[in-house]
Amino acid sequence: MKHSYWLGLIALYCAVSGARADAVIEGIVKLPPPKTTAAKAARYKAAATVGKPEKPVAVVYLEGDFPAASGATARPEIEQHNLQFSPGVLPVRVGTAVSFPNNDDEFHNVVSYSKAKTFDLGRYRKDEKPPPVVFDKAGEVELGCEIHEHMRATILVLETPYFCKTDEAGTYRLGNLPAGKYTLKVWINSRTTWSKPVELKDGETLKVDFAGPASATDISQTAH
Amino acid sequence: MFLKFRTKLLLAMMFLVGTVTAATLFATRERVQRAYEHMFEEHAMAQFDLFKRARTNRLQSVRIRCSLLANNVRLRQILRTRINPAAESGERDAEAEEILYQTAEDELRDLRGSTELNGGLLSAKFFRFLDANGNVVRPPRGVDVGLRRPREIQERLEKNLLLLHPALTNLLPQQIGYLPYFASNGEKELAEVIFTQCIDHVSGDLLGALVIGFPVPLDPAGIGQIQSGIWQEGKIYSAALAAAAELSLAERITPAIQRGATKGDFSVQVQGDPCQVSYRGLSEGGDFPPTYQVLLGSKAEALKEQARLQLKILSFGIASMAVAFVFSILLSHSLTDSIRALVGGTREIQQGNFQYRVAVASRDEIGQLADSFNEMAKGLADKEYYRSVLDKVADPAVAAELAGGRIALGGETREISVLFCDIRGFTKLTENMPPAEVIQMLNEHFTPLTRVVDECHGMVDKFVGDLIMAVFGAPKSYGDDARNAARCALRMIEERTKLNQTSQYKIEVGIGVASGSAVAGNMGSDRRLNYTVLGERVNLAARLCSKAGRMQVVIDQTTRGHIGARANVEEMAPLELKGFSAPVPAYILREFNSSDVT
Repeated sequence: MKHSYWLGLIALYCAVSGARADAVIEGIVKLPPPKTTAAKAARYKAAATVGKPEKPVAVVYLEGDFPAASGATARPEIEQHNLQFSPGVLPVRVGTAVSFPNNDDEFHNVVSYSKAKTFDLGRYRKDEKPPPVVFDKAGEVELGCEIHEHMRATILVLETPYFCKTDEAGTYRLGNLPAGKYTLKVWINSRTTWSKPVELKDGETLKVDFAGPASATDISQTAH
Repeated sequence: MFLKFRTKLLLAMMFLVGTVTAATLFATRERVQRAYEHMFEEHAMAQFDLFKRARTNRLQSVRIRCSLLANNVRLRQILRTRINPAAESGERDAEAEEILYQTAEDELRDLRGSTELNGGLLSAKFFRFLDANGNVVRPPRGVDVGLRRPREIQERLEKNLLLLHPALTNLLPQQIGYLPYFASNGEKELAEVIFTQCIDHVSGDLLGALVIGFPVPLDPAGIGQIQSGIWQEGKIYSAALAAAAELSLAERITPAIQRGATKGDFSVQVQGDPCQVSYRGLSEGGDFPPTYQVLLGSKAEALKEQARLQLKILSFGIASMAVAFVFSILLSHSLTDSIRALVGGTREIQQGNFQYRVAVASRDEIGQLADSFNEMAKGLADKEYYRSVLDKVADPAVAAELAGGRIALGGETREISVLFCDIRGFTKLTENMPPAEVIQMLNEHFTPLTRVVDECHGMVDKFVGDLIMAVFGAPKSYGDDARNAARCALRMIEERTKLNQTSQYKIEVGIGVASGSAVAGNMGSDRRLNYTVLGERVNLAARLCSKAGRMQVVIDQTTRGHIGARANVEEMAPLELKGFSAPVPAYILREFNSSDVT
């Protein structure tokens, strides 16, 4: 449900920008098959209530020189629900504050040791609301729960304002893009990022598929 | 002889005692050695067991803490999100290292530093993290991880920790083993190391490992005479053994282990002391370098005991030998004395002294032998007596033949000469003589005449009153029997004449001699027999005797024929003799010619 909320938002944004006849990139990313992970829930009493983690998706973003973020208005959050983080991947722009509400009955403790942001929210319950964390450095932030080891999530802090997540099939659409020469990048996981240089023209929809690190796929330009 | 026997007996006794003593000595030595080895083996087993159990006890809680620490969520997150990615790109993330070790240090604080706790045994010597590649995560400055200074020591430790690479990919999540490290004084020491894998439970990936090392509790005193040490890679670490002992033991054990032995027991000389050594594997398998526990037990005490026992046995042996010596001398003495007496006895018997008797001193076999000897001597004396008696009543030659069992009842025809000699006027002479005197007179008469017969190779057949009957040529002929008989007759006259001069009785004899065939043999029954001659010639000799004048010898024709010209004879008128139908020619024998020498 939350995913569609985000997709809807992006679509709206793209649609709004579409009035100015900006470029669009869309395509399909070939997602690697998910590793079968059995949630090691034996330690916890409430073994049955561990939810399934989000299926892995990729983040597509356009890298280039863009004006700095003015002031993030969005307040994204990663909730803890059914002993899982949701969403599993969250791309945000540098400077965004993210909150981590606990929607479970158990304690959770969100911890990160990543270079981009090291923080430890301490243990808190559902009713406690720790302050949101501002991610002021670009990079990858890997989250974990100190109590529940299987809970993992990643926040991708990006310089660019143009990014979106693919769906579970790998489909994405980036709209309202300015024309110019840029690099289109796909973050698959912490080890894998694919990239392609693209040239955008106003009013054009570029179809870029990613099946591997440097695959040249259909680049069909159609005016819209 | 007796010396040789005594020596033999002595030697036999000595040999026996000596052999028994030697065998006992040998047997005891074997037993003592084996008993010691057995006892050592038992103690060694007990000590191996004890060490393992003590280690289990000592490290039990520590192992659990290590497991918990390796499973710590934060540490694993740091490894997963910072350390390993950096290692993969070949960089060092100093900040992450600091966070990692500082986080770990808090958890480990109660394992390190405090020396009052459990006598310092639980005080860890060092700890390190290994990343996913097995390389040591460099500890930051501020954290006391042990064995940092001087740098050389740290580098050597890290080099040794690289030995654990294979352990990372092994299935064992936790292993205990032994690794060498260098102490601050430069000495190589052994650490008891717990190696625990850090694993991402979500992905199953290996994140790295936690390695924590403790000093090995080496007992400087040893338990019950047994000292222990630990062998690894050709070196023995111990608190109880001297450095030289460590070296020599290592020299013995290292090649055996390299050849593949996983345990061993053997004897060895350590600084001149004989010792028993036993070694068994110590590490729980896995990827640590092979380590063995070595136990050394000195045999000095056991050998001292053995020596004491052997001395005792030896002195007992010598004492028995002395007693055996004395006994054998006494025994042989009595034995050889008895034998000597018996030998002396046989010599006496040899010389004909059948009256000799041997003293019977005891009732044993020697005594029985003496008894038998005496019986034998008595038997011989009896036989001799009977023989002499026999000789008296029969001619010795006949007696010999009789004694030899060669004469059977019956007779044979032989050519013989018979001589009869009787006293003239005997009846008248002895008319008024008492019988005793008669016998005395006869004995005096017969003695020299019997001797003469003997000298002339004749046999006195019998004495009948005053008559002597002698046979020449039976049972055995000495040749020229007739001449012998004639000579005998003349000699008898001579002897009687000589005797008449000295004796109180003046006796005159008459002799008759006849020759020819007669039957000679045993007459009588087989229980009582008499060897004599029968025949017409015998009668003739008796008749001629009665016809003979005083001191006169009358011979018959046959005799005269045998003598021939050797003697002077005077022919007589043929005699009318009772029992003879025709007158018998007879001759008076005067003397032998000087040419005939007897």
